[in-house]
Amino acid sequence: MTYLDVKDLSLDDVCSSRYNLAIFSCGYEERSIFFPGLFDGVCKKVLVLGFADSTTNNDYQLNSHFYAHVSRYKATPINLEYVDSDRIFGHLLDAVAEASDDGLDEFRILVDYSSMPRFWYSEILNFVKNFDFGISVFCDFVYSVGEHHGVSAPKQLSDPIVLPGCAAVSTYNKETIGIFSLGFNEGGPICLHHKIEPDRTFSLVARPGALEDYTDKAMQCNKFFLENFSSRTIYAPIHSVDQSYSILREMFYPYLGNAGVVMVPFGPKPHALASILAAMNYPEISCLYSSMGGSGGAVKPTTELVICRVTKLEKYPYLS
Amino acid sequence: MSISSMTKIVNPFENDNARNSTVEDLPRQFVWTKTFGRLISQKNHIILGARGSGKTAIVKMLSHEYLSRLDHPNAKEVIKSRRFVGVYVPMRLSWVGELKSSTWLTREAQELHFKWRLNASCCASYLNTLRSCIDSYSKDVPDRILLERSLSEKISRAWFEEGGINSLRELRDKLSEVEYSKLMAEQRARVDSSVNPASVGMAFELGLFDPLKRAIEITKQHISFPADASWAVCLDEAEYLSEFHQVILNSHLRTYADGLVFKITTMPYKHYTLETNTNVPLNRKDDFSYIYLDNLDVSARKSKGNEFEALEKFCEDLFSKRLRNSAWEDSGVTLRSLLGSSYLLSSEEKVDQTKLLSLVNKHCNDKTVRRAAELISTQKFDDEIGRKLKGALLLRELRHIHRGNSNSIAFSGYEMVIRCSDGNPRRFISLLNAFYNTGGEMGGFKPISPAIQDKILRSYSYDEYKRMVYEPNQGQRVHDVLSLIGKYFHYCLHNQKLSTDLTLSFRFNVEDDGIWSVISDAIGLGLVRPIVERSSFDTLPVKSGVFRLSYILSPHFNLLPRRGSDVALSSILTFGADRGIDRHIATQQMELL
Amino acid sequence: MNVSVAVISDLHIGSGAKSKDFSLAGTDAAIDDYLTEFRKFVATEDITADYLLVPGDITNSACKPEFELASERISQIATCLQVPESKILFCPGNHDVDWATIKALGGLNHTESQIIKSKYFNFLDGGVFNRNLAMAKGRFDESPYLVAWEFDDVLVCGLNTSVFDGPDKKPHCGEVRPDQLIEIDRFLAGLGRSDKLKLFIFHHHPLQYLDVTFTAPDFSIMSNAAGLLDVISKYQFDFIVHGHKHIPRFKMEIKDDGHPLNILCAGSFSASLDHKYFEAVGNNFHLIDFHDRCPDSKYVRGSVRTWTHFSGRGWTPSLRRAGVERQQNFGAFLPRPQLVSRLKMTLEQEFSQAQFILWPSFVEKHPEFRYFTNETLRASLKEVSEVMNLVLHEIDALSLEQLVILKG
Repeated sequence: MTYLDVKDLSLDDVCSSRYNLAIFSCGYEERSIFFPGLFDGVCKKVLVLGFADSTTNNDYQLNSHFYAHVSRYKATPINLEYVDSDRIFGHLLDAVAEASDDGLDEFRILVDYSSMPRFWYSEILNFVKNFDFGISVFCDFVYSVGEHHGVSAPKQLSDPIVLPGCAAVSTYNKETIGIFSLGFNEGGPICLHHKIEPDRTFSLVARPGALEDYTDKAMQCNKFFLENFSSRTIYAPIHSVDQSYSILREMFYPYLGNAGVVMVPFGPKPHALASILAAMNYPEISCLYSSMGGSGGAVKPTTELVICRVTKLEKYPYLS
Repeated sequence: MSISSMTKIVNPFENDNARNSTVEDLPRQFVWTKTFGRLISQKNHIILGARGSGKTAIVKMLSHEYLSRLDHPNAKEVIKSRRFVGVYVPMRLSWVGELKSSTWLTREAQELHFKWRLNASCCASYLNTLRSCIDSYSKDVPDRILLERSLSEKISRAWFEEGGINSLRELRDKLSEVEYSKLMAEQRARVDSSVNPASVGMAFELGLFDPLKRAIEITKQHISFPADASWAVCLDEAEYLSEFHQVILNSHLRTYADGLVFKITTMPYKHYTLETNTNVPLNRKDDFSYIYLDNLDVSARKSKGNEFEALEKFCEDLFSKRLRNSAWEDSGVTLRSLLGSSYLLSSEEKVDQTKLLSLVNKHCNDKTVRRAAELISTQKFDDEIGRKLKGALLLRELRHIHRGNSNSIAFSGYEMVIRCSDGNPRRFISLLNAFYNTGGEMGGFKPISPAIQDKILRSYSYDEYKRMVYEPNQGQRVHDVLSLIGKYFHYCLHNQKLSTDLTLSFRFNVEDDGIWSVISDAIGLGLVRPIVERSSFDTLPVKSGVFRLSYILSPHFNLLPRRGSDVALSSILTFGADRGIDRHIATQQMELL
Repeated sequence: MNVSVAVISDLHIGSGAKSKDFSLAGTDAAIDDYLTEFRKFVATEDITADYLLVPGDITNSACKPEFELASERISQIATCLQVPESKILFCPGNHDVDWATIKALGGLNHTESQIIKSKYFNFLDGGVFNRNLAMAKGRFDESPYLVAWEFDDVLVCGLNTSVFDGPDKKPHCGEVRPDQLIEIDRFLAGLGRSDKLKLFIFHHHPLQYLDVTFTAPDFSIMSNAAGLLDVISKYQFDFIVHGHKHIPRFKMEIKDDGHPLNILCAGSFSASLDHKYFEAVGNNFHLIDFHDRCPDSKYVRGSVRTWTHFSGRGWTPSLRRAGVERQQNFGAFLPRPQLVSRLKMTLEQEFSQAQFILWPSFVEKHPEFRYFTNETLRASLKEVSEVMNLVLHEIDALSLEQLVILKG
């Protein structure tokens, strides 16, 4: 059974690596181009995924211009909808074919998921998990920590979906455990909690968060949820996907084989990535999400980066 | 009030106990109602219930494993007679949601995929039922074990064409393995055309419910059941299915030849279609019946129109169940002692007729003022004026004299809390939890001051109001429309001269499918309630009828939690336009502050 | 006898702890209030103990604030368990060696014994460690680095196996030197013989364990462990408790002189665990109940109960797949063929009248089978079942408490 292993990396690790394929996104957030701008490593092929409904946005156009003309990539964004599953697979298949290097024993992918919807990078991981590269493969994920202004105005959520590759078996349906990672979406967790109706609920909050006051803001924003729905709050740093994954695994491990676990990643993207990895590694775990769409704001990077490497292992690494 | 033992649960309302839906807890809390009794039959039922109506609890209780734990003579009889065996199958969003994202599949493939997964889910649920049947019907310990081993082996051969499985646990693990292989194969097939997902778990591809039926047949060979026993598949939360999936399910409600009966829950108006996979749609009454769930069990009210009695009984039952086995069990604490009487709603707290008359003169229309003057000093004054207008007058007066940042006490008291929770157990327990926690670490069950109750109720009400927006599909529209309705009622109550007919409900009278869709969604979410005299599907209105807002919204809009008289919805909709009221949230918030 | 001994190991108080209240101010941790959770758990399970053992890695980096916090927390844990402060017994681990001091003294030509003393300044400076060591014989920072606490009913010896450890030593597997063993022998001889319950604690591994969670080979066994176990066996210690790798295990070893040693490798009580290595083993708390001595063999008999803490779920009886079973008995030993033969004979007698046997009832009636380890019993029962054609339903999946044996 394929297993996706994760470990933290440094910027040096990334800049000194050679990549077959780099996947960036073009959105209206300033941080869309922050890492692509400073990355000076080698990549054979660059794929830029753009938001179809943002093409008229000024910031989007600046970012698009950056990719196409200013940067060394000279890549035009491919426009996608938020929930655009098969097209992503199609582009990845083409890109991988172009970027394969005969004679190399590793296929290396770099993804900047700072401005990507969860659906997209879940689908990228899903592709990595399922496609037979013929050689070993790893995928480095980079996240530019952003300056968020706090609680966004209430907005209608999209239809809840199970993220690609994050479906669980229905076998252990006697009990449902909900693990909600929380951010600044005040109503989303409560709304999905009503729909999922877990028997027990746990919350994951970033600590330390992106900025000094992040944790307090997130706790305040989600006060009602924490007081009325959540049994316990667990904290994981925003800066380590490895550690976040470890913490999540400790939360769900005792329930494996007995209950279905539903991850609901409303928190920061590194926590979402950890949740997606968990859902892809364990049959009992699903990852469910409902988007509020983008904030519409030009989120600036704080300049901090969270980088991790996901390595595809051909079998589960533990003997137990 | 003292705690009897420090090792017992101290806060009986803390959210660890919020669900109370496990097989250990739910049967202890469950109350057998007439509606529930109707469901234990050979008929197909579609159970309609809004969020918070308790439909999941009811359909869970139909399952053998839950029913066998219910301490009720009827339940014991059903289990003993073996005439009804329920299998609870939750259609969880966490797996149904995956059906929606499989957009790369053709329609035919999607249908197969849905059937496969539903088969696997039914079989997994059946293992819980089988466990319960084995435990209930085996003669002794050796019989139980030998039965389990034999059934596991045979069912394994039927499902997987594999032997060597000797326990239900192993069977479940094997089922999980096959289901996961299927999911993985389906994903791999997207990038590798040589992978054939259809070859995985072929037994589950046969036909919808076939693997379940095979397992039931095997069970009947080993455990004796009456020939006319009903095997009920209880599918919960069908509202998450698309119309396409419901058509597939409907096809199975047509034929009883399956040997299965179906109990399907969904939200009101979310049984989208009667179509089936054949040319013949479902026939209500022949093929199935609707049951509309109003957990207040409207039909059980002692007197027609006395909504409060039903609400009161519901809350008192829930309160006493929560206290049982908690540290406060023998403390003597009651709901009334904690909350005190409601200033606005208590019928025991009388207001002096003279005072009431002055309020009538201040706030009511001429006709009412004249009538009051005629009736003063008589019993009829209390009946016609006092009982009908006391709450409204006091509420309106409180708003008029409110100054600065002084505390409000309007939304407090026993009658108020009961009404505002509006028959929703989660809401009621959350409110009690919030009240409990105001007592501080050692406080716990002290009487809660009216000011604190008011503050908590308003905050809770505002949260419910605010959070409507988030609901997928048309949360924004639901919010906009209910906001307008609430503001209209507010205007009637606080800005227009009052009569004895208080406008607090609306009559649907618009030819607009869009508006109806909003109202029906709001009903499903438990934010709007149809006013019906009986809990019956036949009385569930469609694009017509009288409705009220959920009472939990009353504190936010400063309304009385009463149904009152109705007004045409068209008037409300034009009210907003006439006054240039922007439906944007920010503006509404400004208005109500 | 009836002595209960609680074990908390590898607390890693400081930046290595998983909870904020076990960390120094300003450290972020996964959970906030571990002590409160522990208190509730102890109250719910109604757990009390007579002694509390802490076999090392008490702190994460051996600095003074960490030892102060450790002293406070351990005392609070003892209070929850109703253990008197004087019965909190411990030994240092490799993390309790103050490397900062060693590095500072590095180029200054101090003797080994002086450097060893300096490693433990913080440890011995104050708090419960200082107070309780004052009541013991021997010192952790003086050869042979062995300490003994003697009570009316129990003798506890603690050995410092980290004493020769330092920042440049890899791996940090612990060590006891051959000449040190001679001194230890002499020390133990000086304590005299008695029928008291005798416990031995140290930090590092005395055995090579199979790691099911690590993929890399295990080098955690301490140098000269065999010699140490021989000495411990010679003086007929009843039970060994150690820590170090955070994966709980329970073993029995029989040494050349025929004396069985029960060895509990305690899990970590409160360290933040990297699950890449530990596959969600979780944090562990153990309670060893010593019941009595076998009238024939004089081996001490009892049970080890283990609970595991997972962030979220909290404290729960240990899951079998991640370490030790929730309850493991000890104290009985027979060569396998003899045990199989006795079991067979007894089961035949029982089945002459019964159709099935519930294991707990069987053991009640035949207490001579109670104190064999779970592994021994499972293996023996399987052998018997082959011969007698018995059905052992779910023997590997369930605990022995739930085992039902049927005639085939």
